[in-house]
Amino acid sequence: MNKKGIAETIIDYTRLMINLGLVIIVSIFIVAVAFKFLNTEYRTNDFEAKLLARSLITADNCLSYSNGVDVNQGLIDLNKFSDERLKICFSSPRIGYVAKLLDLENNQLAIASPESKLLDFLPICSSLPEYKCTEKYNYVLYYKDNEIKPGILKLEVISLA
Amino acid sequence: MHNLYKKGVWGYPLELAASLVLLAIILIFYSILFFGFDVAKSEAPVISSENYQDSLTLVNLLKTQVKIDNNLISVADAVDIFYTGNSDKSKLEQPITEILNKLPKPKNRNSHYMLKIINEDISLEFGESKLIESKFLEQKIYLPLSSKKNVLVKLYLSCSGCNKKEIEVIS
Repeated sequence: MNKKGIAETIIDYTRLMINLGLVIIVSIFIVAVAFKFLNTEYRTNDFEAKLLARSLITADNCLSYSNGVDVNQGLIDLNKFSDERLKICFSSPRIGYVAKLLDLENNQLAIASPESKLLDFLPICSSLPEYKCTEKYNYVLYYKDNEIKPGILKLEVISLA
Repeated sequence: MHNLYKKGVWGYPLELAASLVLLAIILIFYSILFFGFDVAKSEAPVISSENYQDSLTLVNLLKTQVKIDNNLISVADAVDIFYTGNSDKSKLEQPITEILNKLPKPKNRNSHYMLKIINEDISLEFGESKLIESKFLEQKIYLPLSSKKNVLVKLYLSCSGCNKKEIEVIS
């Protein structure tokens, strides 16, 4: 190979290296952007609170009224409104909650919550970034004085972010 | 490969320099967009409960007991009596509107619930109907009547200016 041939080969390889370098830079950039997308967190605390509210209202082992055979979903049994019952119904170290039954005039009829250390932070929840707080209001019915009455089930949920 | 660049001694370096400048501009622009302004992760995407609706509120509303002609009956029974021709709308209007007004609503917003009962012959509407309205929390069920026919019952919240976060609280 003459001198001109050697010089052209060196130039060709240099160009190849430069082009390869550019491809690598662009690839790294694409991977970095994709990695950022893949690590995106999803906020599910609101949806979790809704599922919890539905469990409380509709499940026999939670607050729903049952005559032993049929479960009357949406009808709250006031006798079941206790901390112990809610502990059986749903408890998790990641979630703390308070359930309140209100009448339509906003008077509190019953309150219950399963024991949880997270509940200590509920009043100052909005100022603590490591916790997420959610409130849910659901229209429900309840038995009182042999009568089915309408009310609101208020749920205050605190969960780890 | 080298045939492509036989434009003189300065052909390739000039082209390369221009390409590099263009690449640098593009990379800087998207770096600022994705990492500087955090477009890719501006806020954690929310799995909103508002997108997953059931008909619990509507079912409870139809099971709510109301006083009509001194009888305590459910709203569903009252609707059935209306369609069998033994009642008129004015008797349903007051108790149903009262319940609609008591359903949970977003705070500090001008909002109201609408209940529509749709039948091929007579349809009923309760609540304030507006020409332009944003519907939220739409729920519907088919209510079977004693005449073996069904009526479609629809419930929704009409709210102007409500956002998703406010709706989530009552969904």
